Amino acid sequence: MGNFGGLQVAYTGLNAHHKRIDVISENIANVNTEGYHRQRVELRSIDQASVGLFSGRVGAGGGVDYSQVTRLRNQILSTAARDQANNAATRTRQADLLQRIEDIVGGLDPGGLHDKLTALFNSFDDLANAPEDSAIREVVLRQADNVAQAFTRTTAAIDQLRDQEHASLVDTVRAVNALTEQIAADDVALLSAVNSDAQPNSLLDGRDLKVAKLAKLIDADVVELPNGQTSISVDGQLVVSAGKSTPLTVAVENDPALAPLGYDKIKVVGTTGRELRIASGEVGASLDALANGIPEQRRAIDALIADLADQVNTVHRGGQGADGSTGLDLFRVGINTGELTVSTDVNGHPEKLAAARLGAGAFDDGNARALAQLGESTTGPVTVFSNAVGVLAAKVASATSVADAAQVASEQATSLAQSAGGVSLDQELTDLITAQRAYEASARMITAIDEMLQTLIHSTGRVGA
Amino acid sequence: MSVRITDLGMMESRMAWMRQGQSRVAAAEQEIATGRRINKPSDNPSESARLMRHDLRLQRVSQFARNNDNAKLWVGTADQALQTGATYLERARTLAVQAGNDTTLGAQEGRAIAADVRSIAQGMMAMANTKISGRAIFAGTADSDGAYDATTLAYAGDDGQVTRALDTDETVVVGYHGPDIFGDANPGDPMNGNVFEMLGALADAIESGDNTQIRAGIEAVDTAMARIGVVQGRVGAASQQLDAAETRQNAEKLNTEEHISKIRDVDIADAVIRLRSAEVSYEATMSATSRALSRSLLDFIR
Repeated sequence: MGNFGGLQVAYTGLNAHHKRIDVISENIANVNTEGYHRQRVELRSIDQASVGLFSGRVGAGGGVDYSQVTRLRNQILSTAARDQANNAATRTRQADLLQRIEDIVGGLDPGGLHDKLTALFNSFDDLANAPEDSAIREVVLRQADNVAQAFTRTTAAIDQLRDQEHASLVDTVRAVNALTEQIAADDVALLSAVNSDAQPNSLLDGRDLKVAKLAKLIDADVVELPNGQTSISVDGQLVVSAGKSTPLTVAVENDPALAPLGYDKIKVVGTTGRELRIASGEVGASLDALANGIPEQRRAIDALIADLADQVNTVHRGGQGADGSTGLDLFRVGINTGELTVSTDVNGHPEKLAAARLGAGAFDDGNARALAQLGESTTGPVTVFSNAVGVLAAKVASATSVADAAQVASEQATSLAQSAGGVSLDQELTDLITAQRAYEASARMITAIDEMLQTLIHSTGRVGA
Repeated sequence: MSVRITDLGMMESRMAWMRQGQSRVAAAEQEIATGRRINKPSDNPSESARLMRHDLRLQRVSQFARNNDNAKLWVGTADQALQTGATYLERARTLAVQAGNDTTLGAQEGRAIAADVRSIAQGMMAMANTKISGRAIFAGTADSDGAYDATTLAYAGDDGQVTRALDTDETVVVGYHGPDIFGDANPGDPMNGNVFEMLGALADAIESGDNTQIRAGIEAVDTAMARIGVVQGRVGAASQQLDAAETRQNAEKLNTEEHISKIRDVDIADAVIRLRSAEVSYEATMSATSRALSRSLLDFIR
């Protein structure tokens, strides 16, 4: 080693620790930045044998290599966090949807369907008490109309919920397309950075954050390529590949199974128009709600309506009105099922309410009583409604607890990923102290060598002062 | 693996804890504010199912109580009418006995007594046509102006039975048929016809001084009184049934309301304690967080 070798070694030390301090200040600056991963300067001593390799940079002698700055990201933990976030988003959307349906159907709320049904069947008893009273007949018709309107409103609200879900699916797919476009743009920038041998850590952080956001929206298969780019596909359809993104679209198609409800099939398609099977993420949850969840609840309400109309009409047809009319329906189910009205035969004609049994006196009350008894029957419309509410409530309760658990799991996975890549101020400060001390020591080394050289240059051969 | 504690991670987990604490406090507050433990069916699906069953029953029992009130009106009105009828017949009997016994009765006095009996017959007719909000209570289920036609003296009602529901499968008869109270019409033999025909025949007999017919009339009046007595007995029984049903309905209403309250309503003392403990743990989380977040190595290095 030559005389100046030590100076060079000390110089690499100075630079290396200067760079460490730079990186530490970068870490501290980003302590609260979403998606930022801690960086670390990888210090490696330069082997004598490899001097030739580094001669261009550090000249002769060992010293320290500080060219590598790594991003501390644990890929397994990050992928796990992404998967858990995807699951949590799916479950939360499912629970939200069921809660909204529960709010629509009601059950325990005063003045809700349950109360209106009970009031209708009680009013049949009032009719039985005074079949001669046309005011009471009018009241019964109003109660029937209340029930009919409430059921019709319920199905209309579910149809509206479906329209909202459709609109929100379109928005979410639009957000997916925006993200894939940005990811593709990041990938292009990344490739040129990698090619020019730069270390694009902040670009990577930004890209990974977008990929994580994408995971909440849609179940995408993400492959990280060795060149730093990503290849993302959804059910086999590439959405990001080699720095190019492909948008997804929402399509509407006629479906014979949903047509009776007045619904269409809503699907997400790729470039070829192929329907993509998307099971999770917000898009997956929306698709599931549109294909299964909402139609199922709508059919349940339709069944309640059909059952109510059928049970009441069967008894009503068997009776006789004050004017002798018979065989009339009280309720009419619309051609578009889900719509319930009081039959025009009876609405506005209170005397046609069949309070009397067939062939009995005009003021007989037997049929009104039979109608009132339906209210308490274990197979009657009120009980059928309560049972349906119970089934829905159980579904909501379990979906909510599943969503809560998924949320906790997601938070834990995120916090694990965060623990690998996040910034700890205490740690950075400790590193700062060691880096600072090392910097000072390197500077001291230079002074020491300088003094040595001074001795050599000025004092060689001199004896005494 | 040992978990590295990072500043952002620590902040996020503290925020999650505080969110949880806050939502626990909010849930406890909501319970106290609404007074209800169950606001939506999904708050407790099985309890909600019971709640809806109890609520339906409560509504039905309240309706049965309303039916009971209506039945009481009918039974009370019938009772009063029958009492009036019995008094009328008592008076008719006295008059008939007087006419039959008094051998010195002149034609004019006979006419006067006969007129009295005829007005009793009219009173009976009015009583037979007693109405509740326009409906004749002794006409069965028929839509007629009255139970009896004042001219033909014939029953204008039908034999339909008027009942009220006092429970899912308990009914009470509240309307009584004209013929059960006043007898069957017999235009060919008025003395053995219904009360109105009979009183008319009795008046005729008194007017003409026909003692045999007057005696037959007194017997007929006794028969008519016995008939009314039988119906009065049935009315009394119905009235007792209604009282018993009312007691039962009130008790059931109270019990059901209590059940509903137990399921649905908040035990305030319990809820307040839970609110306090939720608040304490929330405050503790906040205080611990503020300390943990303010501590850093910066406080100790110079």
